[in-house]
Amino acid sequence: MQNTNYNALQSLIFNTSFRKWVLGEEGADKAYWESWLLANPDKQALADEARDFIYALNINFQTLSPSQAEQAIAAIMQQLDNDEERHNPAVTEAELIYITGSKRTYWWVAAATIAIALITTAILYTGKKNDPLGSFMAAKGEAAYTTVYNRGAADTIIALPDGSNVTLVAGSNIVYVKDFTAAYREVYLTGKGFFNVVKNPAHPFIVYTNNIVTKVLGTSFWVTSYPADSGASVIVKTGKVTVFKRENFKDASLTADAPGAKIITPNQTVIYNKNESALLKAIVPKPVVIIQEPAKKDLVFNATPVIEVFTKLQELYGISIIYNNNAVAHCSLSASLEDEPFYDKLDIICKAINATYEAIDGSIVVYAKGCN
Amino acid sequence: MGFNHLPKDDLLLWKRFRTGDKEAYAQLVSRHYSNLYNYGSRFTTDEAFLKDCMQEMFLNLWKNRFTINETPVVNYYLLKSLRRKIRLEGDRNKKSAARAFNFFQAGEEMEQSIETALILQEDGAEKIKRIRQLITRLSKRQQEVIYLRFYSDAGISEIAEIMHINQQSVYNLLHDALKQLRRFSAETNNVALQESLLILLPLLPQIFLKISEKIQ
Repeated sequence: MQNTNYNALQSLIFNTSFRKWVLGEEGADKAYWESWLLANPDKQALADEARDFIYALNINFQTLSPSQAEQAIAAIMQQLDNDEERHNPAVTEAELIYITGSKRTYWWVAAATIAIALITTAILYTGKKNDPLGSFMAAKGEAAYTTVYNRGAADTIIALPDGSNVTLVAGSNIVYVKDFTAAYREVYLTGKGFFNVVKNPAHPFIVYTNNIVTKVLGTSFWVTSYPADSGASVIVKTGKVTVFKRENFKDASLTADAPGAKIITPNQTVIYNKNESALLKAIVPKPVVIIQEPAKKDLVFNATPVIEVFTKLQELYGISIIYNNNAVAHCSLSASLEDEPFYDKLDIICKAINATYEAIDGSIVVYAKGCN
Repeated sequence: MGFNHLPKDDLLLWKRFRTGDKEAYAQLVSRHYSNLYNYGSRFTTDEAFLKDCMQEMFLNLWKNRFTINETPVVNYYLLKSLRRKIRLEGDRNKKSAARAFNFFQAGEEMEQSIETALILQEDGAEKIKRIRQLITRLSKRQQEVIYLRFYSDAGISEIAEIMHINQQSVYNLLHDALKQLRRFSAETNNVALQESLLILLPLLPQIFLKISEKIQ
């Protein structure tokens, strides 16, 4: 009996929702707890006791002012940069290892002769099946590919045969088809790289990874796919890219209208989740203005219809904003928006027109209740 | 109080951080710095020592970004790392280790924020002060359990993980702590209850009016 009492007391004291209500914090569920007390008059004494404890425990521990915290955080980031500069000098030629197809074959032959007794056809077969890079290279034979390892501690830029380039993050590697005049410009990435692709619609550029495939005509974008990680992602900087699940990408000629393919544009990202084996389209955490002309960046509104405001935001960030025309028809905004991050701008606008929003599938959906 | 950011966001940041995304790392540091500092300052009064421990902990985190595991809740992972770091450095540096003090230490901050307690007539405030005094008499581990439970919304298993003890111990610490605190609060409750009823008496007609309005 005593025991359950303590449990009941604990479950109130340490209940976040109850605590918010007691302390009158924002977002407290006032209605719930008031009706809970009305419905359970026998719990009044317990609630009172819990309240005393909460008051007693609610000590303002702010021992560090926000500016002190900021300084300390800046010091950490500064130290990190210093450390990296000291430890990670630019990648040297020795750290950048090119292996052309023939060399790879020699290695393979050497290894095969040593382990000849152990390697059976069965192992080879299953090995190939579980080896996404192996199956990538099987298409043309290993001699047709060049592999570049970045064994250095800094990022480095690798030039590709067609004038495109890839910034290869430390520890990553790429394998590319030597002959970029073939129908497709094909690359396999392990790790993380930023691709800057020369436009050539006649020869689509395809980046393969363990789980996803990215196909572009000419754009710049990030691809991340670490073997140890359970996911992968693509972030577009300029242009438009199409992302497929590797298992669905049976043929290099597949285009964006293939089932399950995701098209993304700047400020959007596709994240691959291995557990769910799903491609998820989303907005990057910190969208940036994609329009260069500074004249268009100003966002000073004076009783401007909110539809115009949304249109302007769409232009600036290239992120589509979906709303019900009727619901926002009479809404207007007076505000000056400048340097705030994208989501802060949305917060300000939606608060002003009594609306909420949600990011769904790479777009913003605004739920408006209407204005008078 | 506590953490008002979503653990879900943390997980996404953590994921990006583990692939070497410095921007995500910077966000993680700034999201957690203050709360970690508050927790750390329960172990030492030496600010410079604490800041050094935190800086080193965060820099190590970055160094290990490619090998570090996925973690269920970032917040608790960091609390645990900091606790271990302070212990380790404290042992190395006897002076700082000796500075260990109460989780809810008596003094200035104990006096604060009573004003947040709405009504709080004299004896209400007295009672809360008294509970606070009693809290400082609890064992350090009892205080830590309460602190983690209250300020980090950590559950029993997470606290066990952070403090490196088993779950039953956490449960016992919490249970005994409340029992000790409650023994006192029960003594004063009777008096307090009578007094608060007396204070409410003149207000009763108004309360009835309000209620009947609502019913209509």
